[in-house]
Amino acid sequence: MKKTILEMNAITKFIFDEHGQPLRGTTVKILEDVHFDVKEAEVHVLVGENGAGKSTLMKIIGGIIPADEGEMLLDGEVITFAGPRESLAHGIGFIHQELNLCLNLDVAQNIFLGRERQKKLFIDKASMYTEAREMLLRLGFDIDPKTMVRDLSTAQQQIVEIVKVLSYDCRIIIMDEPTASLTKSEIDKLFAIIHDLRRNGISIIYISHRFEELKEIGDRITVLRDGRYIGTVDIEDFDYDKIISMMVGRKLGAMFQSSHQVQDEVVLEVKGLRISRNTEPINLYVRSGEVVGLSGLVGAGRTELGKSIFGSRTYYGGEILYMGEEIGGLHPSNLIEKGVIYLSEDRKLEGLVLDMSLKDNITMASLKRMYPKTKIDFKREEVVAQESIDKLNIVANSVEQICNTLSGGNQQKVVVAKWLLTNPKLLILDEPTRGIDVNAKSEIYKIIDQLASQGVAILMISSELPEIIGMSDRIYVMKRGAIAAELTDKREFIQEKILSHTL
Amino acid sequence: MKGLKISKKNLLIIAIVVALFIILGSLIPGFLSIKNLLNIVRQSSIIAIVACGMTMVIIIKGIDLSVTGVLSFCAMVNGLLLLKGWPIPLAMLAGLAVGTLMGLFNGLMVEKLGIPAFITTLVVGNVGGGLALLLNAGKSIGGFPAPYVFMGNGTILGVPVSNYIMILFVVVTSILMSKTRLGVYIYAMGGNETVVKQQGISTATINFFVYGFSGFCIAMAGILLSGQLDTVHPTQGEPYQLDAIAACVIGGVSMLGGEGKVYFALIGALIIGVQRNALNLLGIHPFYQNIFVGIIIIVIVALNIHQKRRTIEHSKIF
Repeated sequence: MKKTILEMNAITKFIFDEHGQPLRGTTVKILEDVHFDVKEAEVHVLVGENGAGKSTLMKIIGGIIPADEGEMLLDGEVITFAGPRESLAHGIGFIHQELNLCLNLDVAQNIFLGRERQKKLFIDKASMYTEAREMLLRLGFDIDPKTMVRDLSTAQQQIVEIVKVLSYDCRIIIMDEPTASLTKSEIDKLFAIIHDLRRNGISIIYISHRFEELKEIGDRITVLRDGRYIGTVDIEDFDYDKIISMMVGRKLGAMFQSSHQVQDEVVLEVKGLRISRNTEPINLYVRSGEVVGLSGLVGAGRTELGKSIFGSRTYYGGEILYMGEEIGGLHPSNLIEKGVIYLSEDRKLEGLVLDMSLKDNITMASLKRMYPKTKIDFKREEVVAQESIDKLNIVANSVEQICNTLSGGNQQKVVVAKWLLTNPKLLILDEPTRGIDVNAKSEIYKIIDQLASQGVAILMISSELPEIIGMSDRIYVMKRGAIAAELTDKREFIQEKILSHTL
Repeated sequence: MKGLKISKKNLLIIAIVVALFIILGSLIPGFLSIKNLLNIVRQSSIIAIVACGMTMVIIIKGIDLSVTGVLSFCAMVNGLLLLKGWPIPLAMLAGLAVGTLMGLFNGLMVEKLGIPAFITTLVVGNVGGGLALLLNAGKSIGGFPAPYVFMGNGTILGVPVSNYIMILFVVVTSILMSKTRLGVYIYAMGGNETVVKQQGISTATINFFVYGFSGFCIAMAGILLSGQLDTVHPTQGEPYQLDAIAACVIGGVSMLGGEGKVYFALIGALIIGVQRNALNLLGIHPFYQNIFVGIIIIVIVALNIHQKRRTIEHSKIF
């Protein structure tokens, strides 16, 4: 029996306000009564949907945020970390999902940041380069430590980050989706490293969404759902369906509904539009009450097409007809007035003002329509926002809550609420369910279906094939900036078939 | 850091300097005379010394807008003490201490209260400007001891003393930035502050040092300037704020933070010095000169940002 080195009991984390102070009075908790433990020399995999609380739990272990309730024991002794540095000093390293590197420094400087080798007053660059080179080579990576991190590929940057954390002699290493940007051969190397580490008695907490990986490297799997601890299973008992049902808490299948009816009226027609000088022209149309899926690989030009239609990007020739009227060249604000809406894939950057309240965000795009006489009726604004919150089932304390403190799914609902308030006739959705949990997804699907029933034309860009297949009446597949295929027969809506058009 | 490796962009800067000298030399009689050239480098030394601190501040994504006021104030403190008969080193120390303290105050505001650098430095600069006026009821002072004036105006081996001091500042700053921990941290902070904090590096140390050092440089520039002119006027520091920022920008210090080398800020300072001198020789009123410098800054920063945007667009697939 392996020794337990880290144990967390009854960990609770409340949602917090803009100052990071916990809001204890609410029922909304990020983590509730969570148990977690790590044994010596094991790879403990943590799974759960987005928003399940995995990252929050890891941030508590990593000393980045404190737990509001519960205790953490390291080697049987209660411990709290005041900051990431302290956690690191206790042998806990954290490889973050977002890269934590200085792009303007070189590889060696990044690895040694904060503990530069010194020769008297000055830093000893020569020995730092040699050491960094050795570390990289030992792990099988041939990266010049003098390279600026900016000039590395994302995968190489990830490797630098991993090397950096490994160089701290940690006993526990947290890896938050480390393979997300790695290629197959790099993943193999990483797994070899992980096996090595485990052999040397080091424990790894591994967060991943790729099930095929888990069986290869995991010893135990813990499932979180909605901030709660669901259970831990040994890898020998790994069963795909069981883990899925633990994560989801219910059966899939009822996710997609279709109660809408496609009508004849063509709302959007794109003729011969080129999104770049050297791409093929694009033709497509969307009818009233129709959900049209726009599939394709990342970088196939789907977002560019969406933004071209919405007037927020220049394109190279072609016509865009909306209800028979040419709208090419119009500014987004004119289009919003006409009922054309584009819902950005990046809600944090382009969809929300994170520091503003729910209410302000929801009514933002409709202020002009709601109050043509410049004076804002705040009472009415509140009522309207509250209606949206109720209608879309947004989980929040009040209309005054700051969007930053909402979960991803709820933030996305706020964005949707904002645009619904403008009474759109054409809705271009760009990855409407990215990074949100299954429940919120299914609610978003319901909303899309309802909108289509009301006659709204919907063009849905999505990288998730089940979503495209489940929701669409028709599917366009994009490849290299052009339409590669149009699928009209629902019997053709098969993942393999769509994929074959994208590649 | 890679030291003084000459990239295409840097080569361009040097080419511009050479071209500037050739063109101006052929256009303006007397421009290339030894006397005038010495004049240019002497005048540029003030800009360059301020630019040493400014480079660091801009690298950590800050800006120091206290130059105008702090420079005048420190010069005034130092000058008044000299006239009171204080020994030169002591009076200078007092001036330098005042500048450093005002810089440290900026650092304190940025670090502890999170006040944006442009606000706190602007305020401190204005306070300094006010104090400079108050100290001597708005009047100029002059007639400093001969050794003091020599420091500003004299030459040793044909090179102005000011420029020895300037070189000392540039070399020390450069070594600090490229060879010490603190230098790495300053660049790191401009690159990604989150990492710096996570690594347990004290941002307070960095902020205090950088703003304090900037204040120190400004004070030194003020003292030298008063030596060069043998005068302290309470609004003497006025042109150097924009000039120093321009020197940094021309020298390739990115206003977006994290990038820049002091050596090139020095070249930037020379370009600004040449430009001012040429406009003077051409008989263009000094009032126009600030407009000129302003335009240079805007154009270069705009080009810089435009270029960055283009690289981002080009990195896409199509």
